[in-house]
Amino acid sequence: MLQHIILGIVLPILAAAACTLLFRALSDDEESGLRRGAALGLGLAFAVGHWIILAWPPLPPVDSTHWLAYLALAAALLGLVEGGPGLPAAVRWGLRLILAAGTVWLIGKPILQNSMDGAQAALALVGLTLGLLVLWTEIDQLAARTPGVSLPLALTVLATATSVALVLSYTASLGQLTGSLAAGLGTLAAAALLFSKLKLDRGASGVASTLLGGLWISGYFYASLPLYSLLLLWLSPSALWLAEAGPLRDLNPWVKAALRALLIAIPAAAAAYLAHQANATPDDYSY
Amino acid sequence: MRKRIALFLITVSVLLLGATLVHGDTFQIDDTHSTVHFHVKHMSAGIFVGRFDAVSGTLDFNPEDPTQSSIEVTVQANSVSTNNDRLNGHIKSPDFLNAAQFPEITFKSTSVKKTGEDTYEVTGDLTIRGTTKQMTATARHTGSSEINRKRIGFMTEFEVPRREFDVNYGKDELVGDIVTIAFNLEGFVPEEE
Repeated sequence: MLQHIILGIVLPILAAAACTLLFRALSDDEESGLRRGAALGLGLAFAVGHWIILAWPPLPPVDSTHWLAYLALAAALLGLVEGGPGLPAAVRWGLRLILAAGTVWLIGKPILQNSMDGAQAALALVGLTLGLLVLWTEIDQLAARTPGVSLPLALTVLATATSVALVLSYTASLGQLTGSLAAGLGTLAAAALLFSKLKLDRGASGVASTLLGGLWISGYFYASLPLYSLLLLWLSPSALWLAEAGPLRDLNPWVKAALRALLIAIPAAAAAYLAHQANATPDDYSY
Repeated sequence: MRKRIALFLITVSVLLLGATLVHGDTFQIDDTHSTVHFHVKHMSAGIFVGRFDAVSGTLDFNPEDPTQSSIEVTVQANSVSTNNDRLNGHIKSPDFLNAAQFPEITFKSTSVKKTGEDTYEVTGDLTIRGTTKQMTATARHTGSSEINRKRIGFMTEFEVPRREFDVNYGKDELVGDIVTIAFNLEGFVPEEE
């Protein structure tokens, strides 16, 4: 079990690091190379984690949550395209809409089809797709404003809290998968220390938002992630805007990185606590 | 002419009666007196046992021609019970059964052969977590009765390699690969309305 967990962390770290370094080395444009390497590295980190923790799923997967493995690759490929030059905004937004709607549909299909009537399902599909696009745009905008370690660090905190919330919602496997995502994001934070031009916008932002959104939906639909935890996790990146307001905007980068990590940690930790409270029973049980 | 018609009607009646006698009964599974439980090795140490509380289906049993018999069982995955709510939640989650997406575990026989005085080889399609595999097991006829209403009992066990049904959580040292699912079924012939 411990070996499983370690491999699910170490191999994703290696995948993310190798991709970022390789693209940096092979690209003439440092910023573009880092951006694309980070996107592919994060997607591969999650895919490798999925392969270690749950095995590689058949295509199409029988279990809808296993689409996450393919969605990670799709988001990474989109990141490669977005990170390059010359993609018209309309095409970029069209591709983002397709991936966001596809994520919600592929993961939520059994519930949308079998547990909701047509109107409810349509509303849920549209609402969750819009929510995913808002999350994506928000992370993208924050990443574009502030290069460096602060955003990947904040997203690492969010993914770690998500992992804890999912484990507390009875699903260790989704929690471990989120651990692989956190490992990939942590690697990007470390890479940002070495390469100041590393930015997550138009690349890794899409991978992170697709996978986080997909994991939250999976936890809510198929495990016991409470609605309040889902909402808090989804809204927690919005807290990062506080660090962009007034005098906080001009803080020392290290202080700002710590502030951002704290700002996202508060709602994310509250989400994990609520998951614990909602699923608390008198029964003692460890995996 | 009347004699011929009478002879014809008698012949048809005898044939129909014979067909009725040869044809088996259809028993409805009695969910109160039937249980489906499972056991699996845990942490390479003990044998962990759980059960499902909601079982339904039918048994078509033809003792004269067992090959005409059949069985269909549906188990509600959400009814898993281990006497521990946290563990119940874990087994229902995507780690194991993903009961929200796959609410039913089913078995539908495709062939039944008599192998001994009270034993039968049952082959059929077992569906767990959306994956269907053909499984074969020995079923034992545990008894029949006419107390209150016509009843019959069967028990059988399937050795299920969980990974073949996409239940991949944890290494084999944590949760064994082979899960034994035991069906202890009692069926009754419903009263005609």
